[in-house]
Amino acid sequence: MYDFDLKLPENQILNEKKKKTSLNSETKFALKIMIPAVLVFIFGILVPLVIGILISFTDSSGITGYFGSKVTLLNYHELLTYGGINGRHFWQYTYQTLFFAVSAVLLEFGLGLIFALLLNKDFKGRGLARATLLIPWALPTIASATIFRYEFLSPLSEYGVFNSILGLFGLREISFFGADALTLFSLPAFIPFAPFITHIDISFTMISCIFIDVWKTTPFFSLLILAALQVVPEDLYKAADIAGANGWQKFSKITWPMIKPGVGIALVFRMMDAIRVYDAVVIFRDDSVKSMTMQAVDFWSRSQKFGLSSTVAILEFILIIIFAILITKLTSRKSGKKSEKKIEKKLKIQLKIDQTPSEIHEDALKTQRKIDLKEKFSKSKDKEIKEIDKIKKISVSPILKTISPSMIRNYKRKRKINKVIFVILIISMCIFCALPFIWIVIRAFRNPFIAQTSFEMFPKFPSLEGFQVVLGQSDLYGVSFSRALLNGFILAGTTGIVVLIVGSLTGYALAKFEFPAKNLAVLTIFTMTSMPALIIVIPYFIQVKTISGIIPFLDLTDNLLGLVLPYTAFNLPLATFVLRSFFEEIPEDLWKAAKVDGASNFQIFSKVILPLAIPGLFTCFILVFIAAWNELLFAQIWLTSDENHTVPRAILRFVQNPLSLQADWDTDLVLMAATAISTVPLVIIVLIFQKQIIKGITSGAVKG
Amino acid sequence: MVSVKLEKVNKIFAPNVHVLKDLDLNIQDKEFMVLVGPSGCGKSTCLNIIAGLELVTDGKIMFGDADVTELPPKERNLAMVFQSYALYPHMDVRKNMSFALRLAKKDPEYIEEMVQKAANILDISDLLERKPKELSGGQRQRVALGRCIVRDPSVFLFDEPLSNLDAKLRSQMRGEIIKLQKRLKTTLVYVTHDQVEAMSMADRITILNDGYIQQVGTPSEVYNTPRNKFVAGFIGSPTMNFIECVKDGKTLKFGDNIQKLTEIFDEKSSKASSEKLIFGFRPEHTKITSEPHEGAYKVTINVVEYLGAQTVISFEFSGKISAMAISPGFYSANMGDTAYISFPLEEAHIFDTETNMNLIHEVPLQKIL
Repeated sequence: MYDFDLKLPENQILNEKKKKTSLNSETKFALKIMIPAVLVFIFGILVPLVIGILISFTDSSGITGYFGSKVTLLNYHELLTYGGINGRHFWQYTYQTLFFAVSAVLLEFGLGLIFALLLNKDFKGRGLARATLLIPWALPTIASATIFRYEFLSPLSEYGVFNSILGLFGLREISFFGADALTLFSLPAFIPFAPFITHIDISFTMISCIFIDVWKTTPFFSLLILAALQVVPEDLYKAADIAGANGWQKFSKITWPMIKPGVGIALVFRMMDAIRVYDAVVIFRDDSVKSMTMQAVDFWSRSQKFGLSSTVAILEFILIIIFAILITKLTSRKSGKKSEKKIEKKLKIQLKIDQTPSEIHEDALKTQRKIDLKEKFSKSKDKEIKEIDKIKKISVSPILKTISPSMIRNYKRKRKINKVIFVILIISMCIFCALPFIWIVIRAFRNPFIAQTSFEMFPKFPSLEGFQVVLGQSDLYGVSFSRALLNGFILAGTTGIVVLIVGSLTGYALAKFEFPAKNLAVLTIFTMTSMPALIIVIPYFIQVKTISGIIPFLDLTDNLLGLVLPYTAFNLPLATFVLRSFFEEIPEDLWKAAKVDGASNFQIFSKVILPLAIPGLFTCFILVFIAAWNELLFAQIWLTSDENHTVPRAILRFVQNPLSLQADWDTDLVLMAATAISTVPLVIIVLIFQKQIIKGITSGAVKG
Repeated sequence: MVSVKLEKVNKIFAPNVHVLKDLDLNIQDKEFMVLVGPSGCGKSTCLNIIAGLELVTDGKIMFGDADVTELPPKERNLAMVFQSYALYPHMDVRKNMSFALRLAKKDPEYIEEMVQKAANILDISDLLERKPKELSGGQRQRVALGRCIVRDPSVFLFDEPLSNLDAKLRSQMRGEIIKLQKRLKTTLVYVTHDQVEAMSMADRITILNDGYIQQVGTPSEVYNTPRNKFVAGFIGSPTMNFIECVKDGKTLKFGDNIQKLTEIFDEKSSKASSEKLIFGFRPEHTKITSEPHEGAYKVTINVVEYLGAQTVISFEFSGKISAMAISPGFYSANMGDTAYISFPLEEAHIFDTETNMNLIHEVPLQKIL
């Protein structure tokens, strides 16, 4: 990609000219097929966002109604500067969110970089190793949090895996969470206008949350870095080898400078996500790990202070934007005013637009001409020969060192050690990713009716009864798993289809047409991803309630179908970018051929382009399906009644229901059976289609 | 400034892909050696093995008297030019050129001096501040060369360095590389799939196919006395005509035609493993006329391609065996026309059908200069 063809700019200029003069009807078509996306944006994002901002300036609550009784700045005052309980909590949770996000993302970045560098090497079984990375990604966060909370991190009395291992080595038990969890250190807090908060304690529970998040998202991160690594051509490493660079020099002087912009984008994405954390911490229900999102949800559902809830969401959004800008600045090559332009340039290179400005082209030609001229009147040959002789004289030509057998043995040993280390690292990586999932499956087959008396590596009483409890008992204290599975299927399936329709139209418009405000459209779609779901979900609820006040049958609150619109809005960006990259791969000539054959714009799309993009559509469907299947926050706020639970919602409900402790079966084991049922099909599908999915994830993210 | 010797080198990639088979090759000090062959013949692997980017599965590599088989690239003191140039896109030309020297922690003044000198030689002094993407293809090529020169290596390795350039620039750079090598007097190994490049640049050519060396020799040796049918067909354009024929006494029969053999030809071709032989002659060694001439065969014209300086004519012997001829200047004919063609026997070759070896010229695999 770095290799610009000099002929390219001319061609592109020509193409652009052509498009500008002859694509009038096509522009209209492009604008038409953008309409669904625009509607989704307006009703799924824009209106709720405006409502959200509005009610953050009101006293909106359960008593005064959604739109409150007066306009006020009190919400912001209460949270930011007034030292009441809400304000104290706000600052505490904000600090915790930041600590969580920064440390989790840094760890994920470091670990992800190592994974990616390992996987960038060619070795036997690389496909398999890469596939295991998808396992943590495919599991719902709430499920992985559950596995760690109830199986790996639980105390010795509950036969937690880590503590049992520590016990084997005669080490003391560690409380990874709960009331006994140690406070590790205090972070000092200096906020001039909130003097009421002086320090934040970081407890072991926080470390557990960070660990859960690292496990869940490192693999995904490493796939993004792996995609960025593809920008570096193999020849560069060969050249560096010959120049005498060692492994570290190759990384620091070549790899890192080249992947920095791509990794920067991945970092921004991850940071946005980490600040929005909800699923990974909600399961602990512990003040010392609560996040901003959790506080907003609590304001909404516990104390019914809608105004405050929206205010938290908006402050969180502002925080996300600040971090996005910060990271982009840090990862651009030179900080300062010019950095943004540079990023743009780099992005363009990555987007394969490869628009070398025509000046550069001309410049190159000019110098070429200069050189040609110079060559004609070049200095005499003797002089050149003298120059060469000079080089020969100054350069202390290193004669090959005498090679002793011990030296050769050293090299051989070094290579062997490297190989062994490499294999160990790869295997640990696979175990890290796959083991928790394998553990769920193993545990699910343990009979939950026989109480556990010691740590069991393999189930002592294998049976299928755990599954029977989950699927057979139609109502597990308010949770029906078979119903939740069905609901999840309906919701994720519908969302998938709607996203495919809207996304393919939008992606096609972006891939093949030039139209006014195209860049604005891309930017808008892009910002949709950065929005915290929280900022939308409450206003969206209010929006639907308000509309249904006028048209009663549109009351879609506590209805699966009501979630399709926001889910579509949040998955549309990824789908659009994935599909756009698939459409871009379809050769331009095919499009021309269809045009010559007399197909209309829509016929070209439906009869030529879509059938060719079926693999892309399929990949996209899986990506959206998994995202919708795993979503918790929206589902929790929206689907209040038991019969409308989705799978993550049902797992959370099950965990939080105190009644389950009184059952005559072991709750943890039934929980593992439930988790297994809801995740094994996903993991199998993901492993089967791993190649396409990885391609989808990376093309979507790197191009976005 | 060093000779390069490959002894019984084998390279096997993981799942039974045997790329190089018992390769023996002597590259002399200060020699310009071109490795040429069709894609997949192992020439690039061979270069990577000399560079140390790949390790041999079996065999030995000697630089002069030193056994470098196990040494990593940086210990071998060589420089390489890649097909993609492999310029570091985030470094400007100066940094690209000085990368190796900076890694070796040389004195900055020395580095600058070397860069300036190399830039002067290659005429890229005013490009030193530019990034690779701001350069034209030819300029990038020069920078890649400059990066090699500054190190003053004992061996240059070139991996298809010209194949990304357009035809005009390619022939210009060809000349410059030859000049450079002759002045620097550094051993150079050059890989290409283009036999024209091989013929025009090499001191000696190594022709590889399917992991085996087919022949090593000077351009004129491989052209005039190809060791086997592969070399005969690979070198020269358009390729040599091969005609299957049967030996009958002191004549060769192909179709309805009979070619008389001289004493030497008869004697040498009788060593063949069967009656069936392959008769080979180059298109440029033919004489084609519209009127019959002495010793000429009657043929039917198929296609006539006028190229300016010469005309390439494809024709058929008695409607069956097709072959090509080159006539200097313009030759006027239409498809289906009859023509008369002859070729001097002393420039023709006879190949064994089974071993594919040249029966007329028995050439050793490798001739040392």
